[in-house]
Amino acid sequence: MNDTTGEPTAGEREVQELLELYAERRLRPDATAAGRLRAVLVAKAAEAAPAASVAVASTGAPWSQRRRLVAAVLGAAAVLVLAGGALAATGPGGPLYDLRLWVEEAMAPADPAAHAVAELEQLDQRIEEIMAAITGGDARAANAALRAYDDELDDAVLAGEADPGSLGAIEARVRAHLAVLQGLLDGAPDAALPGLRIAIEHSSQVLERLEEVDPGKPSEPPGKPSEPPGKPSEPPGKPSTVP
Amino acid sequence: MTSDDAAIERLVEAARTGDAEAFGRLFDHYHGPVYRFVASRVARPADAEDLTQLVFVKALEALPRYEARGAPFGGWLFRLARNTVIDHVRTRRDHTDLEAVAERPGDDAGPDDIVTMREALDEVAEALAELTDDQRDAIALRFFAGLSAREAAVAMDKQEGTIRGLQFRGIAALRRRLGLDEPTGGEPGGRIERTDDG
Repeated sequence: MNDTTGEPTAGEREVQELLELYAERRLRPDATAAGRLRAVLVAKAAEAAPAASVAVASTGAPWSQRRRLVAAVLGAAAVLVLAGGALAATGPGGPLYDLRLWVEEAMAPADPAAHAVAELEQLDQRIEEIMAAITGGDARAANAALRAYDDELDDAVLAGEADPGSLGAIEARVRAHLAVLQGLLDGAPDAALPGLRIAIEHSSQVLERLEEVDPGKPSEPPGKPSEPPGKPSEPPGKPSTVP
Repeated sequence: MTSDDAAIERLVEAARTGDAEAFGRLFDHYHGPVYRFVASRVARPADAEDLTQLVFVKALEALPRYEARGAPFGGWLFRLARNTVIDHVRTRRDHTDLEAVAERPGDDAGPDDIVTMREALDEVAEALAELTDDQRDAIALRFFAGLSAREAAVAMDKQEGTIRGLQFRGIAALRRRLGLDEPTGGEPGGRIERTDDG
């Protein structure tokens, strides 16, 4: 930088131009993804609006003891969320996990076929989280992910009913996931076993329901599962929507 | 405070009082800068998208606490972004996924141009990677995100003068590393010197 004028020197300008080029070519966001995220955030902001209005309106007013207590708890929770970091907060059992699931669901495309694909990806992510939590011995995270998987199963069936062409893929995926869940029974933390059994039972029920919806599909040969236990049919693509 | 700053503050105040579209306009203003900052610090575009999403979700959640901190909104938002990136880098082994690097060739780019451009940008990426963490953050906040020195200072929890120093030394190191001038001192071989500023 020029000491007298404070303006960048020619060499500095050259570096700045290179940095601008680098940003233009390598750091450009995807406009479609940004548009979807914007829509989700605005919806979330609208949902939170009444609470925000009350909070702002109460600023400066005399607070009752109860209000102070609530504020203290909320403040502590916020500090925990920020201090805990992004990954811990949005992982299963983390304070932002439910919010992350909500964002994933809200960002799923409206087109029935694309929506079914998105539901399958979310099922894969839940299974990956369940596997990671159980093999890591984290029962709390496992139970959070198992509950999310249960909810996702129902969503996947609804998506399949809206797009019958995807029923076969959903059934194959759930069948593979069922084998994974059954394979996790050995070695799962005791506290995660009830949730794991519920997920297995629910998956079995979903398979029966899918077979009813799509009776023309040939059934698997008896005694021959589509995938070996402990191995999903294909590796999930992205590790998570929000790390 | 510039007119832009005042407009941002009005949007922030509206968003805090429940105006969802005001938050949407803040998103419009800051999404690109936040993404560029995050993408400059993580290897994969998919991670950059995920982390950018997380930054705005956290911002929405934390917005009611903004006023009490008294910082310019841009600085406050980028402090969230920087902390989010730091958490990400700490908790996972980041690796460069060369195939995932999204290259946007220019309109007039032929095959030779694309190769030349890719090599030049690879050199910039390597040069950036050799800066200290603080120098790289200062450069990314100032040039990729377009923050003022004051906003960058808030984002990095440092004095404005420190930010200017980090930026100056970062630019100088990049010039040496990219062969844009002859080094007058420092380490031989064009290797970027490590200072004690980060």
